[in-house]
Formats: sequence, C-alpha cells, structure tokens
Amino acid sequence: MSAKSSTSSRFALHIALGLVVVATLIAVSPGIGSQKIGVVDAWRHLFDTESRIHIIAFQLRLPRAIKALVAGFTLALAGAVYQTLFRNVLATPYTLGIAGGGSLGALIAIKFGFVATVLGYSGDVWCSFLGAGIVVCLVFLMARGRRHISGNTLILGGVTIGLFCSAMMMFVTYLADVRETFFIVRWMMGSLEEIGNERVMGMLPPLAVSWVVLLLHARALNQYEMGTEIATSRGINAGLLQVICVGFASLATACIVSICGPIGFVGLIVPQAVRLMTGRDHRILLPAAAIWGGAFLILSDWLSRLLPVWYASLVSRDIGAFPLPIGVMTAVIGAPIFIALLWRAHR
Amino acid sequence: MTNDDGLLQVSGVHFGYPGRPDFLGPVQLTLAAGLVAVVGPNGAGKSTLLRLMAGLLVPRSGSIAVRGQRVHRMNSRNRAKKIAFMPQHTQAPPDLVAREVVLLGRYPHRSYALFDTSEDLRIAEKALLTTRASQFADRTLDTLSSGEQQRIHLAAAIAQKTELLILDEPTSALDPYHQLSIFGVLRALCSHRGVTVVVATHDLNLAGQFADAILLLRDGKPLSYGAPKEVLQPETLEAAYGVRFHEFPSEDVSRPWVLPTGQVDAVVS
Repeated sequence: MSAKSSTSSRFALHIALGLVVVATLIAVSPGIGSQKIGVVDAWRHLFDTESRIHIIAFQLRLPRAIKALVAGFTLALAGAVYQTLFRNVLATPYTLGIAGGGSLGALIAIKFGFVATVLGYSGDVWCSFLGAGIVVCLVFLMARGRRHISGNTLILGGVTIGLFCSAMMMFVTYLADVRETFFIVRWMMGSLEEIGNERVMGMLPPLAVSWVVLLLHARALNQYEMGTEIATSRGINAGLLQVICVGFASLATACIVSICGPIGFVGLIVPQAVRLMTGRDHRILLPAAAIWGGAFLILSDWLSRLLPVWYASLVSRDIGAFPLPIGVMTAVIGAPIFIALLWRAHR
Repeated sequence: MTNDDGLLQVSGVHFGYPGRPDFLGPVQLTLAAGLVAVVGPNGAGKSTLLRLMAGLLVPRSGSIAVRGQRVHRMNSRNRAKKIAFMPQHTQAPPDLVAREVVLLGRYPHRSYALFDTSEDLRIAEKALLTTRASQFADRTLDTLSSGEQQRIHLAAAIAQKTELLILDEPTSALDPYHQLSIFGVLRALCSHRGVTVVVATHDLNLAGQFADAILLLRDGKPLSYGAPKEVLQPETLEAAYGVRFHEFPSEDVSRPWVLPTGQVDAVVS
C-alpha cells in the first residue's frame, strides 16, 4: 500500500467514521431527554411546528446538540493544537490559564453588569475575549527575549495565571449576592443551558475563522513536531506559527467559554484518545479530534440529562428534571479516561 | 582561504548569543561546491557555523550568501528549497512512522497540498533507498536504533531536494559499515546530482577520505581550510586539538590517514 493511498485513505476513513457518528448523534438527539419522546416520533413532528413534541425535539434538544457539537469541536481542536505547540499533552485551554482568563472576564461582566451589546456581542463576551487575551499576552511576555518559547515555561506560567484567575473568581463570587452567587456557581460548572441560539450564531464567524486557520496549519504543525530547527529549515517561521495558532485557538476557546462557561477535559482527553486512533499526522488528527470532540460533548450532554432521570426512577422519587452541569459530566467521564491513557502510556 | 568559484560565501561573520560576547568569528571564507567537512574540537563552533549557514541563526555581523543570495534575507520557503539541514539530535515524536518522517522533507515543495503527490512519494522512496533505510520505512521511530533513525532523517534531508545539504554529525551513531555507506552517498550526491554537502564530523579520517575540502575550526575561528592533505597535517591538528597526531600513508597520497597518539593526563578524584 503506497503512503499516498495510506494517508488519504486513513484521512477518508477517520473523517467519514467521525462524521457518521456525529450525524447519528445529531439525528438521534431530538429523542433524547428527560421527557420520553421516541426518535421516530420526534422526527414525525418535524414540520408540526405547533406541537409540544416539535418544540421539545427541534427547538430545544436539536439546537442544544448542535451547541454541544460546536463547543466540543472547538475545545478539542484547540486542545490538539496546544498539545502540539507546547509539546505537552497537559497543554489545554485550562492548563494554560486561557479558559481561566476568559471565565474571569465573563464573571466580572456578569457581576458588575457589563451587558451592553457592542458590535453584536454582549459585554460578557467582550470581557471573556479580553480576559483570555490578557492571559495569552501575559504568558507570551513570560517567554519574551527567548528565541523560541519553551513549552514548559508557558505551561507553568499558564497554571500559575489559571490559579490566580480561580482565586479572583472566588473573590468575585464572594462579592456577589445569593442570586448572583447561584448563577455564577452554575456558570462556572459549564453549561449548555439557557444559551440562546442567536448567541451561538453570533459566535460562528470568529469560530469558523479560527477553525479554518487552525486546520490550514496542519502540515506546518507536522513540521513543528520535528523540532524547531528542522521546522525552520523547511520554511516554517516557528515563532509566527506559535503566535497564530495560540492566538486563534485562544480566540476560539474564549468564544466557547463566554457562552458555555468553562467545560474541562474535552481539550485534554479527546485529542489524546484520537491520536491513538489516527496517529500524529495533523492532517488527520486535527479534524478527527474536532469531530470526536463534538461527539464527546453531545454524549456528555445526553448523560448529564439522562442520569438524573435514571436516578430518579431508580430511587422512585420525583427529583425534577434538572440536568447535571455538563462541566461536571465531562469531568466524571474524562478523569477516568485520562488516568487510563496515562496508565497505558507508562505501561 | 577563498575561492571565487564558491557556492557559499561567509563574509566577516561574528556570532554570539544575546548578552554574551562573540562566540564565533570572524569567519571569512568561500566554500567551493562539493563535499566540505567541518572538523574541530568540542566547542569550536562547528554546529553554530552550520546553523548560521542554514539560516537558523542570525549573525551578529557579516553575511552568508548562497550563489550571491544572502541566506538571512531569503524568503523562508525559498531558503528551504535551496538549503536542507539535519541537526545532530531531533525532537521527532517516537511514534512517527519512518516513511512519514521522510515525506515531511517534501514540505517546502508542497506546502499547500493536503496530501503528498506521487512525485513526493517517488522522491521519498528513492531517498530511503539511497540511505539504505527502505527495509524499516514502515516502522515507528521508537523501534529503530539511533543509527537507523539517523538514516531516516538523512533520507528526509535528501528528499528536500536542495542544492546545499548541511548535516551536523550525521554519522555519530552509525557503525563503520554505515558510516562509509553514508559518506559514499554524500560523495555520490555531490558527484552525480551537483549537491554541495557541508558536514560536521569528529571523524578526521572519514573527512579525509571523502571530502573535497576540510574546514578546521578552533575557538570559533577557522584554523585551516583546504584539501585534506593540507589540513590533516599533524602540526595543524595538534594546534587545534591539543594532542599529538601521526600521519599514516594511504593509497591516495592526497588523502592521508591520521591518528591521535599523544596522551591526555587523566584526573581521577
């Protein structure tokens, strides 16, 4: 089998498999939730816009699945890019402090009422961008004066800034009243609840630009993995590649954090797990990680809504249909997977 | 130390890391086309000079030009089409497949295409054959010995299809058979494809047997540059390395064998 057919057929196989899985999840999602509605029954009401089933299936569940797809796609893509750029599997929007900066910005906006819309984006979105941007600048400033940025320096710096942001978020929460505190705590757990479709649509332009830019750098990232010297000798400007990729991965992360809150583990475990399937070729890894990230978050969202229902039926009590925060769900699923991946790597 | 027919001109080059005094220079020489070996003791500046020639480091002063074009002013893509560089150590991920590593050498020629073309594949296969690495092309790097990995990285540099190939100790992990094989390949690249090869090595005899010219560095400056017979003089080598050398006759009188015979006092605490 030639290497060409090998690479292109592996690309086709992995992307097709991922797309089939995602398409299936999206197709099934109108039938998944606390209210028992069959998948076929849901699709029968596709054009029955007045019916309760249509509203639940196609105005609540389907958009929610698409939001999960968009968020998971973005976080896993950003995680895969960070892991390559910093040559460290722990490099994610969270370990680098970028999600922390974005979250802190959004919390400050929520607490202090910066909600005015500017250029189509509300104050919390702008504050999230600003927070993430400040963290990116701080992390890069720490490496200033060096020929190339050391991955470990950035991660240590990012972890420190992330911890600082966490402390500041606690302080903002401390200043909040009971109602604000409830909202903030729920937001910090990560959530797909109460996100208006228009907010997601508003995020699509910067997200789409970020996705395209990151995916277009797949071949350059293949070179970057060989080491800075080899990459430079093959025409890659390693410093510029770092700035572009960190910049757009951070922009995309800030977009998601500003609307969903911090959702951990997607950017950490999905790229690592997908790398085991696809290998290291970023032409396959990046799109596959993004697609599987979307699938992972759709599944996590299903579980976050179904587990309380299953628990209620198990204990025969009506505890309401409150879904678990999706950030909690991704942590519950992601932590054991991450430990399993670590165990496998050190076996 | 100059040759007007030179491919690579190094003019008044000084180099030092930021905040530190000059580590290399002044270097003023013209390297003729062919196989040029750069030798010298540890810390003499061999790797630094090679990185300056490859455009990976920027000189503090002076300039380096390939066929009259300044290396540091070239567009990075164009430079990558002219100059390939192979470092002594790479950071290649261990789970990369060897053939993929070689195909990465084609990047400067196909940077916007998603997949490698049939021409890329043909060139990569040929490079693998050239370095006698075809038999392990489908294995991951972590299953290969250091010497086999060096042959894979050399194949990637050859697949880059440049007129100047800069190699930092490409045979340091190879057994004698493969050392001779690789230097034979480098010799053939010069003779048959017109590639100029600049190779840093600690093996004076490999340099003497295969190189058209040898550059001997000491303390960041060229001590001698010329044909093997001119440079591999026991007195010159002793001045560079600080140990005595003996010259032994070889079949080709222009390519002597040399061996260090002096003693270095051992300090054992």
